[in-house]
Amino acid sequence: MKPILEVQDVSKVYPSDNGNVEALRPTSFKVERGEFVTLIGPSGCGKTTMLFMLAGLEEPTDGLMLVNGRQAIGPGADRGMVFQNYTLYPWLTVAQNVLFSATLKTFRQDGGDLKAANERCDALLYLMGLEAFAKAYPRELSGGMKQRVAIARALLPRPAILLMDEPFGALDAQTREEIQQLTALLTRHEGTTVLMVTHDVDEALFLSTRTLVFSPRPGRIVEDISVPFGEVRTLDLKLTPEFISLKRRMLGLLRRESDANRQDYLQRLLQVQEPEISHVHPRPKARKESQ
Amino acid sequence: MNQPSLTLQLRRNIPTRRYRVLAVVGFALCLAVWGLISASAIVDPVFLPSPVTVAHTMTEIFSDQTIWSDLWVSFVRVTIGFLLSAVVALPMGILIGSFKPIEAILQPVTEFVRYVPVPALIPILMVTLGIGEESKWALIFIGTYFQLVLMVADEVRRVPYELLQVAQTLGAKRGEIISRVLWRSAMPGIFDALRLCNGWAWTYLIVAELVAANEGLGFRILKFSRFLQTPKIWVYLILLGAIGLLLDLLFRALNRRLFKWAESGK
Ligand SMILES: Nc1ncnc2c1ncn2[C@@H]1O[C@H](COP(=O)(O)OP(=O)(O)OP(=O)(O)O)[C@@H](O)[C@H]1O
Ligand SMILES: [Mg+2]
Repeated sequence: MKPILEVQDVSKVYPSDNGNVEALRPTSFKVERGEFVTLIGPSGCGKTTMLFMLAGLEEPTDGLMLVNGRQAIGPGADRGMVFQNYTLYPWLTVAQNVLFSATLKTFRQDGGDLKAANERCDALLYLMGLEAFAKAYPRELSGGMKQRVAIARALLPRPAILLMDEPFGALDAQTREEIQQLTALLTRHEGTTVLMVTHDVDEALFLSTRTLVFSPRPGRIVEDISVPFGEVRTLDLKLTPEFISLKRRMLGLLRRESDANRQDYLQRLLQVQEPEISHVHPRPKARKESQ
Repeated sequence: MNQPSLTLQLRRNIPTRRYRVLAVVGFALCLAVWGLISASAIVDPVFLPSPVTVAHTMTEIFSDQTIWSDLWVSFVRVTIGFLLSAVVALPMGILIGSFKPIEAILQPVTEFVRYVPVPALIPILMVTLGIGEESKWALIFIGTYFQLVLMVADEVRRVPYELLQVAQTLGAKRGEIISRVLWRSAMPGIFDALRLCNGWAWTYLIVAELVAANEGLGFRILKFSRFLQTPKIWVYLILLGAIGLLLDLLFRALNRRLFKWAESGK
């Protein structure tokens, strides 16, 4: 069986006034059906760029992207997207937001069944614990509720691939865990392939079956780590030695990748400032950080 | 209930009741200043009659038929000119706001025309369209269209790009994105632009009627001034202000009612 997604030497250069910005080096990877892949890496390494290109919202400068073996050009309902800021339509109710895709021409042309879509909307809202808010407007919802609506909206047309850009970044810890688990459960149940950008190592390891670690800009994949914690995961997983050792390995990778330059800079900065500071606060000489 | 605080707090809301009371106080202050000036006789009463005189004249004028027919004629003129302008400006503004090439073709030209003083066009309009209704509609149209079209385009451009991208990933095509996202999202702002333009339409109407008309509020004001009937002029000015305020409140109330979703939760 063909992989659901094949990325071949995809790169991105943004043209700008003061020279071009190389956001992403030529990058290749494959994703099998049903995988939950997280993309992790330092800020500005091109994760959002990668996701936007997969969604068809941004054109790659070079390379090829195949969805189900066919080249993906432009956005389409086969790839759902959840944005970092809950971008709901404020003039539509929760239910109308979730049903948005089912009211479009493409839905009718593809022989979509509006009644079935309505039922699916009800089911999704119920699973997300939002059934009481079907008729509410987005401004009446909390951040966590808005993001649940956005996820339900993206899932309604049963996308083959769900793309999520730091979807839980703005939520408090408890809400985040709740929605993480809900999302994982739903996508696993429906066999949806997920690609999620995050900068949270815990989140990446807890949710995903595989993690792609990116280098600082211009980004490239430095490591492709499989996360072998099985299908059903509980929060206790985060306390197991296996989890912790994988986490340590990933943190190390990220630090090595992102801090190499910064450590250098910091070292120099500290050395320059040392004489001024030392007579106020005598402090030990800056040590070389080993970790 | 919170204790009503009388300190001035930056941008904090106040209760509706207090807001209204203060608004009435504003009008009362104006009236008081007016009364004081006319009582102190700094200004010749021929130019600035006392509030009492104007009030008397007001009862006189309003019991006569003329003011009502003037009002009706003017209202119809404004409304026709304004609607013509809106009907063209809305689609054009949406196109300009949606597509950069169209913006590039139309916006600089529109900006240029916008800065041509509209009253300066009156001679040309009268030569081409005569002194009938058409020249008044045309003046109102020209006076508001070029403003409105740019304001509509601005509102469309203000729609967050992410809202478009979401629609794209859900399978929406260009036409649908315009009608279901851009237009819907920009509607409250566009409605507000209509409110402002309606106010300007009244200004241009009066200008047109002052120059060439044989009925309407502006025409009547000019006629009064020929006979130095300043109290009557003041009555008409007050009426014009009241109409403006009323229409403004109407637009706002409608806006709130139609676009409940847009109210910021603060
Ligand atoms: N539209 C654009 N025009 C020019 N440069 C851009 C544009 N979008 C992104 N970039 C640049 O490309 C690089 C990668 O950006 P991107 O948003 O993909 O990073 P990211 O990995 O998502 O970062 P973060 O974790 O902070 O969200 C950055 O250096 C950014 O400045
Ligand atoms: Mg990003």
